[in-house]
Amino acid sequence: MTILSGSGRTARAVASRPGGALGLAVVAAILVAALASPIVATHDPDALDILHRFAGPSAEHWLGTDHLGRDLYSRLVFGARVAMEVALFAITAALVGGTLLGTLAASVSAGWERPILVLFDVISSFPSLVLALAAVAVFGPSTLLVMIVVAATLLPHFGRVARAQVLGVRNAPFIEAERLLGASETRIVLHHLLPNIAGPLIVLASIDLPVVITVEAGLSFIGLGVRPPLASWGTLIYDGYAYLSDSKLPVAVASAALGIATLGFTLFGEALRDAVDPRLDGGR
Amino acid sequence: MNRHPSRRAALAGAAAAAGLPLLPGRAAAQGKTSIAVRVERDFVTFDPAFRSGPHDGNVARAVFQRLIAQKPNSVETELDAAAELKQVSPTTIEFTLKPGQAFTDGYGTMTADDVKFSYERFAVAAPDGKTSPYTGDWSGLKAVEVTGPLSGRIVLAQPNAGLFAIALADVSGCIVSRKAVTERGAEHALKPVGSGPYQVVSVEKQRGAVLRRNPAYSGPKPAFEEIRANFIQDPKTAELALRSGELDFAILPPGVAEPLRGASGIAVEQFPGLAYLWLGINMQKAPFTDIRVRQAIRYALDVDQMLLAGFNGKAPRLNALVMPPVLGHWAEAPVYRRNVAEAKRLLAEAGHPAIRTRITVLNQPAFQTMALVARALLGEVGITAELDVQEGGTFWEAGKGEAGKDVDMFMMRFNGKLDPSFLMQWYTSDQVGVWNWQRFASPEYDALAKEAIAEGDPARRSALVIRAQELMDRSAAFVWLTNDTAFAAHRSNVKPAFLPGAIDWQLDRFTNA
Amino acid sequence: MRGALRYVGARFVTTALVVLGAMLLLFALTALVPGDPATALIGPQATPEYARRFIVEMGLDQPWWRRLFTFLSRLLVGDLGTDVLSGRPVIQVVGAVLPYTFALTGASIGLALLLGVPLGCYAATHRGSTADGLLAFSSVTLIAIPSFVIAIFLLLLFSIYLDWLPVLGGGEPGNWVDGGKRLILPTVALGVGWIGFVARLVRTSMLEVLGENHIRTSRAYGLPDRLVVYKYALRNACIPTLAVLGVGIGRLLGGAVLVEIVFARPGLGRLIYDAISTRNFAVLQGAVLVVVVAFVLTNLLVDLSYSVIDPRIRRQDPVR
Repeated sequence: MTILSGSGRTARAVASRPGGALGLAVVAAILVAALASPIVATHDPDALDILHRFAGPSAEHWLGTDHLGRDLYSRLVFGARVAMEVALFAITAALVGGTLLGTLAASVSAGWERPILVLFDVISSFPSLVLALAAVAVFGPSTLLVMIVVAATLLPHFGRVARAQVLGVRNAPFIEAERLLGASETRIVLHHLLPNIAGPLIVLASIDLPVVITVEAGLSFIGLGVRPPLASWGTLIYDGYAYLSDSKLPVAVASAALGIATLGFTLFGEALRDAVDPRLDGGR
Repeated sequence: MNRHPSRRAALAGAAAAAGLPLLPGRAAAQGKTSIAVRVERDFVTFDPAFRSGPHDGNVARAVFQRLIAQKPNSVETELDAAAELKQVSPTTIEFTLKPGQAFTDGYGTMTADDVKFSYERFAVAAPDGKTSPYTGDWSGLKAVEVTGPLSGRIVLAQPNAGLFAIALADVSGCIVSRKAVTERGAEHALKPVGSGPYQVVSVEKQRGAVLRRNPAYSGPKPAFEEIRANFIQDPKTAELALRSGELDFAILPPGVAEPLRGASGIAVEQFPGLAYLWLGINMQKAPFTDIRVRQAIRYALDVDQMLLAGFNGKAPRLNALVMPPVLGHWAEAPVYRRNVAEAKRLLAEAGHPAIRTRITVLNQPAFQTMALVARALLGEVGITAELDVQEGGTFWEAGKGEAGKDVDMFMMRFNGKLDPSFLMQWYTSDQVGVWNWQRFASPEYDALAKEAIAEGDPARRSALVIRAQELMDRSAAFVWLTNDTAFAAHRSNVKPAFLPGAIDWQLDRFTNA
Repeated sequence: MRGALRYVGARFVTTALVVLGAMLLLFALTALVPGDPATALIGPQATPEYARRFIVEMGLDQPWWRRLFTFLSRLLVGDLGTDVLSGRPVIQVVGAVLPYTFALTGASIGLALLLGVPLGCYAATHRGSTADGLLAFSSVTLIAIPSFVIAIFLLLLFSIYLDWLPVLGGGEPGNWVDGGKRLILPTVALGVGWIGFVARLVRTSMLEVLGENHIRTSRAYGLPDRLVVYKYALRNACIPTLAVLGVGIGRLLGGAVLVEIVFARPGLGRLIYDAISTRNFAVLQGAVLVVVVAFVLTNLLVDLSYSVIDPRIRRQDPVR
């Protein structure tokens, strides 16, 4: 049941699906770009060369340069790092927070359930844009802030699934048996509930990952995301759009990177879901 | 210029009578009857005393009359609502109104009392406690004395050399109807009652406003029956709309306007702007308290490279506060060239070989781009700068009050006017913590600014203004960048009209080309 | 029956709590946000006295909980407050953009259903075929690409290179043809992801239903295949689809802001964006309230209709 025990088998199952194989390849490529950005990139992504702005593709600059003469290929590579940082942090935070709250709502005491569910509803009904704008107004734009805002908006998603999973497992015979044998509630949660609900939640995380990438790009596109000169795919599109008449390349290339990344992660997440639990549908 | 307004009006009348819808925009050979212009911001109020910016003011200028108004595309003024205007002493101006100038919506004809009301409401708090943000435009106004139904006298407490350009002929000189303002209250903000060439027929949030010709207007008839002022925030979208013919006129940033030059049916004109940009340094924060550090920054930066990045190199370089078309322009101001060695030497001498700092900028592409270049240039002399990009809501607060003490460097853009005193007012000591973010406090400058506003003789006034700019230069707290450049893009069959700088439009003087 | 009433009652209470919670969050946030509307809007020319006037008029000199209390008590008599910048009632300001938002949301959902449902049916009935695989892949692609990227490309392609469709805004009020034309591109940009989403959802639900007993029985009785598929399977598959769309409508109402910015279209999302940029809190409160209420109400409706159709759900409390 847990995917942690059989990750090799799961990976093979993912790779055996046509979409999954493609997804896995894209995910691997992006991870390599993100982890080894300084090696994969050919230039310093922030190095300006005003006199050679809007240069076309060449041996020196594989994808040309942007409005400040920065190497577009290198900025794309470092953009992968930003995207992955934001995505992994936000997803992890939402996963941990959501699981805690969801488990709390389902298992500890009945008094907690109502307020937690209302909190989830409040967060999902609240326009996330307002949250983002207000947070940026208070703290100024930063990568950390994007991560926190995205994590907060994803929290209910994980929380609800965690709660439903816990509710499903809680009354299973083997848990009942544990309880009869005098196991404490904490022990039951730590040793039985969490490992059993981990699989679906991790699948959900992989499915939500492209959503996070999109949200970060969207926030950066309206100038609320990462702080310049940091390269994010969203800021690349934003800058490229502003200088569209000078060069169409930046918008095209950055949009393509964003599209391929989200597509890759989506395919990967779906293949993972099918491999782990075909009946699970997070529904976003 | 259209010389046959009556013929087109007759055509329009015939079409209306036949129940035919008038084709907006692409009308036949005798020219358009309606045009669309872009405004960058949502309209807030057309009340001249409370306008929220040039975009509100541009409509106010078309809706209300002033005693005098500028001729199309010129700073020269001509009589508008006044039949006569005479400066009888440095502190007294007498006027007589033309008779029979009717306010719309049945609010009667303009009287000298309306003039009194319109001007005095800037200085005095209105009954509900509201004060105008433009009180300064009428600084020195003592009273407007009504001497007859159509005649009166403007009395100043002290001379104000900028009064004609800043107040009388501009939006702050617009004449409202006392009765309409009192009766309509808050409604008057978006349903203004004027006597000018146009009237506002509709205003919608996020869409803009529609102006229609005021049939009762007694002056020269404007060329277009209808002007739609469309709110389009994004300059790129405005460019696309111009290309597709949905828009006839827009002021665009250089990066967007430049490529339009070749487009068919579109003309792009470039004007030296009246808005000005500079990089300011907080003189009261360490290590910038040391003048050598500020001088080093000035040597480290390369203004031309920053302008190339931010404005495609199309913006003229500015070397002092006052730009060329304005009185008091300092033509001999020093032009600083990049000198890395000198910058490093100054920093070492000051005992700050490495500095970590922050540049506060507004989140707009041109600013960010220039700040990024500045960051790279500063990095080469050992100053590590971080960009603090803020949105409008927080940016304009950044240098104010207590928070202002904490600002390091910042990039600013102020709108200017054709009068030096208007430009100088933000750098006095009492503006520290308000708009003087450099915290440049010089009693000498304050005295010069005060003298300049009262000086009636242009040559002497100009000398005062230049001396004030020398003080600013010596402080090394200002790295002047550019007086912007206005790109007016319009369909070639429409001829726009505006004051120098292209911030202030004369919508009623737009014509078919 | 009494149980059902209790359930409905409890859901209403929760709904009210959620709205209250959201407004609490909003007011707490606005208390933190620095800046005042006068300087945010006017910039360099706002005098301190002028800024002060707005702060007082908007009640920003008072603690946020008292502002919330004032807001709620006014709300009870149907007053959303006044936009102090323009002096107009907030209800008018929000009301002016609502039709554009409803049109865009409705059209996007409509487009998603119109194309997504048949595609999903086709895929489900041709399971494992090349077409099914192709559809699966393209629906994932459609979901994956962000709407603002699609918007940019549509704008460039159709409005500029081809010059087929107008670019700007919502069109002239009252001119339906024009308004409709201006709706096309934003609708596609926003709705395209939902097409893929609906198609997949319909496919999954139908496959489940097709495997169920009564369908097999109908087939065994020799009812024509197509009739079975469309009548029984689709009807059953509609329920989860509608549930998800309920959430989608809530999302789209306030979430179209990027598309609205690219197309310079009026709408609720942009109103919120502008309101917070200019610190126009009165408008912000009104607009956010509308979004929250719309979201909560669609969810409530979906939940209720869900539980009417399938009472088991009530006890399970569906995971959305």
